[in-house]
Amino acid sequence: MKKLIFACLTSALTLAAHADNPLYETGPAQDSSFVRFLNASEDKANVVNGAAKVALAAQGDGRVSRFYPVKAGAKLAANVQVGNAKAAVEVVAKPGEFVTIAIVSNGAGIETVVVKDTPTDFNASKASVALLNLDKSCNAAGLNVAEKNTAILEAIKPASLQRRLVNPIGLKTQAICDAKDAGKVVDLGQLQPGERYSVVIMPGKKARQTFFVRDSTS
Amino acid sequence: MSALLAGLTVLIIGDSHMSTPDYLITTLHDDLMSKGAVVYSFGACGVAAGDWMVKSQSPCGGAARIKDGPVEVKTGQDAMTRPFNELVKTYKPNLVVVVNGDTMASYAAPELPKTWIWQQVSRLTKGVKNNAVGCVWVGPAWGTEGGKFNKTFARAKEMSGYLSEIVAPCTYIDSLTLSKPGEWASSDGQHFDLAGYKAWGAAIGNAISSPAVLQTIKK
Repeated sequence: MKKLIFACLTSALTLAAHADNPLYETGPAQDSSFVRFLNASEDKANVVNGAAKVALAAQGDGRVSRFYPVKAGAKLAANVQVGNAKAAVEVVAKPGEFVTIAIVSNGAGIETVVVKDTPTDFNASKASVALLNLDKSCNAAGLNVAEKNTAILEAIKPASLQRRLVNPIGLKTQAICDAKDAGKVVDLGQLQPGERYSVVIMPGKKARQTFFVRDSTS
Repeated sequence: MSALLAGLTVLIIGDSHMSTPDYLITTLHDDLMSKGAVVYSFGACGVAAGDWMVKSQSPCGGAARIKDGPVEVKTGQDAMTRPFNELVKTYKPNLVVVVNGDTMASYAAPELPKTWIWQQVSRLTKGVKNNAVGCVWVGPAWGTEGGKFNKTFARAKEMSGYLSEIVAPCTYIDSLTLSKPGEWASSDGQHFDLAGYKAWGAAIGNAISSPAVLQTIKK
């Protein structure tokens, strides 16, 4: 009798463990996509998308927005204004794509440069460093470890980007355009594991400029 | 009963594998208690890792278990995640165990959504870093191919490999090394029978008790 009760209990427990689990989503149907705005015009800029407005500073960290989540495959239209100069921009981000819309000076006016990145190098133990080349007169951009001529990134065409994983060390970089130094040394400080950084080459009003920004989505 | 984990307070949070009696909320919880740990477990079915940073509704139930108490099943509006910072403040764990992988692997989609997964995982690991608490992350097990979740061995392998690169500072426990593909019986490809959950829970408990993991934990 005891054996029978034990067998029944075992059977009931096994059935419980085979409970019919409800169906639920195991993740999204497509990957996330993002768009950010970068003001390389050296004057204050405004980006307007319907009721949403993003104000970008002329200098410093405030000239780059965070990456805003957008719907992949949907057309995103925005109007950009710097002083009296205006430009319209339209982009469509693919799933998993990070799009940077940069505003650069063009004589008395402005123009937008769109740089797209589909990273696959996410890693929580290393840092990811990118170089964005926003200067159309810089045919081959590169990024070296400052004062050492050790190449981190090479041969980056205008309106494009490359990135690579590096160990989370203190890092000073020198951007290169067509084998010559571009801008001043960019000190990224102590790189943090899992963080993502972009060094930017932009055409300044007087001379090329370089700076870096953390790639933030929040 | 052993004293391998004596003095350790463990907080386990996880998805459906932690949301039903006789799943890991029973077997892993029991295993860690039998090694001397004080254990607090919380499950919210179907949630992604980042959902644990805030109060999030589970779409398919949940459960909680405090120390040697029974598994309390939560349904409907009561099935929620609890914010990670609040859990750490309340239970003061030395070690957090995250059981989360299957709910982010997009088994029905052609591509692994790496950017979305990175965001979900990073939200939670940022909470782990800010609280300076030890952490292990339990990745998906093989399961069986097919079933209503469309799980495949290839995607389980891809997801596990990806998680192993992005969960630091948590130590990754690769569940794929704990059994052979299809070894643990599953009715839906993803969830196991009691024997499977006993084997998985014991194997995770052994991994947590290894010197490699224990030396990462501040007591």
